[in-house]
Amino acid sequence: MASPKKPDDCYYYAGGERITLTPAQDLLAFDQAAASKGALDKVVAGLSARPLTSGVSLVEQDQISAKDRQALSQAGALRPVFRAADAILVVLPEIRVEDSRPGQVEQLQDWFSKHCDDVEVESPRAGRFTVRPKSGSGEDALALSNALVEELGAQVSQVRFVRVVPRPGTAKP
Amino acid sequence: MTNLTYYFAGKLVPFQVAPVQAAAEAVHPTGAGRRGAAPHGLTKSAAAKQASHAVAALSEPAEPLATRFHAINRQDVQIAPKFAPEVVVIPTETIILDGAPKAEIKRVRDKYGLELVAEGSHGKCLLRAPEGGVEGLKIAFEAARETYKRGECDAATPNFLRVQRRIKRSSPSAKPWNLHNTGSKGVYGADVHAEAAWTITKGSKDIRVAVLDEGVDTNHVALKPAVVAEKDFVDGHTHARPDNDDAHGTACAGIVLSRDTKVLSLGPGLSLVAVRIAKGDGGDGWIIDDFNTADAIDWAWDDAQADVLSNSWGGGPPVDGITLAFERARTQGRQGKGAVLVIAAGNDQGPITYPGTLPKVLTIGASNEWDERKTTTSQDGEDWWGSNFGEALSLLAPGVHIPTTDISGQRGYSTKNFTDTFNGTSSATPHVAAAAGLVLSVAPKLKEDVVRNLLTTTCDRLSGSKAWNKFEGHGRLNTYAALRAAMRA
Repeated sequence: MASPKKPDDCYYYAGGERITLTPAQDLLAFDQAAASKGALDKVVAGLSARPLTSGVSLVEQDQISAKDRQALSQAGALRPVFRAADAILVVLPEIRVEDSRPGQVEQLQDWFSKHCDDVEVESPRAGRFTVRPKSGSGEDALALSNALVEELGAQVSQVRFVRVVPRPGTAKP
Repeated sequence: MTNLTYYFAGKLVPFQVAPVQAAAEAVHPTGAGRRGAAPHGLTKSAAAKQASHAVAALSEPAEPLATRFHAINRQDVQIAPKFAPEVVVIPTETIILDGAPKAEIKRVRDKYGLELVAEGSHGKCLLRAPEGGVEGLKIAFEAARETYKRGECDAATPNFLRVQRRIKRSSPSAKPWNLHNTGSKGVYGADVHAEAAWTITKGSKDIRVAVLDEGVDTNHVALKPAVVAEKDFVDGHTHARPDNDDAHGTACAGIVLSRDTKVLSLGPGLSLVAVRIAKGDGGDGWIIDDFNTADAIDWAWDDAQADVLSNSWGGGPPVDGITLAFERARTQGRQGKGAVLVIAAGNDQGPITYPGTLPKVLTIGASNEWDERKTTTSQDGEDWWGSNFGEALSLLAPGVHIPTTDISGQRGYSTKNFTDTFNGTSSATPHVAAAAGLVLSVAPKLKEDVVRNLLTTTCDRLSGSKAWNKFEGHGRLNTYAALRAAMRA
């Protein structure tokens, strides 16, 4: 599957509109479990990272050496980080697909069957699918999510974001 | 004791008076069998005090009393003890003639030596006996009786002074400005009209308001009785209580349905569904997982059967997962009648943030004690934030200096269980959620679009606005007007 390596690939769809994502060059997100699996606990233990949800943490890029970054990447522990509007978005390797049109649902099911080597699919309800790339890659999930809209015309194909937004409180600065 | 009589409605009425020395005793007889509280709840001490005040007022009369009566000798003042429980009636040496011809007035004046003190409107006049004290009373009463019996006037009665107990008010209203603005700060009536609304309903326990936030202290003494369901979509706990100092959701819930008798809420009879969808990141950020949030929305309307979803959160770009979950709540919630979705506009004094940008929801901005849109220059003094605006804005509700619940104990916004500084469109939103809950309490069959329409069309326009505009929406929430409209819908 294609991965969004280039800036042109950094987008997703919402409400039928293409939403541009800006890679957050100053931030890096990693999955703790994947790091442990890659025997990189010592690497991440020394980081001053902000834990988010789903075992993902956020850290300043300049805290990690190029060598450690490479090791995390090879272990599949890094997650894409973007900025959009006033939020930081971390992409998790999961997609939700929804379609209520009978013919379209069948088309999606056919596609998932053909790509069963690449993706895991659950269907908790009729017309609703949870799709996970077997690569465990957030980039793959984003690319797949966009492809399902662009190539199969899925009504909704939404990659999973963890977002960090400004706290809504308005305490005096 | 002096017995006097006068005519009232054609009948001769006895009027028993007592010397002032017996005032307290007269107002509250203390004979055998009359111990304890006085009739009608007037205690002995209160009665004595009341009589004493009445006498004092006559002893040192201010205008116009000073010009109407002869010099009042404290020893001569009479009172009537049993006229009414809350009134001390004091006869005077003056009488009122009503509808008497001039000839009749002249006659009675000449006969009794009365002096014309004042002429009132519509044929009334006030006549005074030539002397004060008990003798003056006798003359006045005799003149009134005789004139009435002659039938030459519509009425001839003694002129009584009535010293009525001031209606005792409770201590100065403790109600917060957002619910009842007395004008002590801001503008009278710049509030959500809660007191009037409460004459109709304080909310039905059958109506559930879901607060989707960073958790709610569901053990809080003012909230616990309201909780009917709770779920944590962040850490998967068995409760929806927050981490650390994450007090935002607790404050939002308190505005909707705090049961506290001092820190009041708009809908204290409503039920609470607490849904944890966010947590603090230890700094100025909030962490939200879009998929979990979508699941939380679906759980709230579907599993927890919430009628209203209060969302004081937002920011970042739109995503279909959340949008669709809201759409399902709006169209499938409440057995197809639709859950009412209430969403904060945001606090940047800029464009409304997602999901407040969604169509067919109530997007809420903030107002202040002066019925102004909250801006960095509005009169409330909070110059570090302003209410967002835009095409999606529905209405405003109070959003500064809001008293509400805080996390129990030391954590949260304050070291106590309550705070009085909550603010932002986050605080405005639960006001409208509560109002929607009250509307559904009196009209549970209404569809969500009708509820939205009721809440917006009954708003009080802010000064200078005659129609919806992107800064104020339809105006400031008027819960009472919305409830009245709901009862007619």
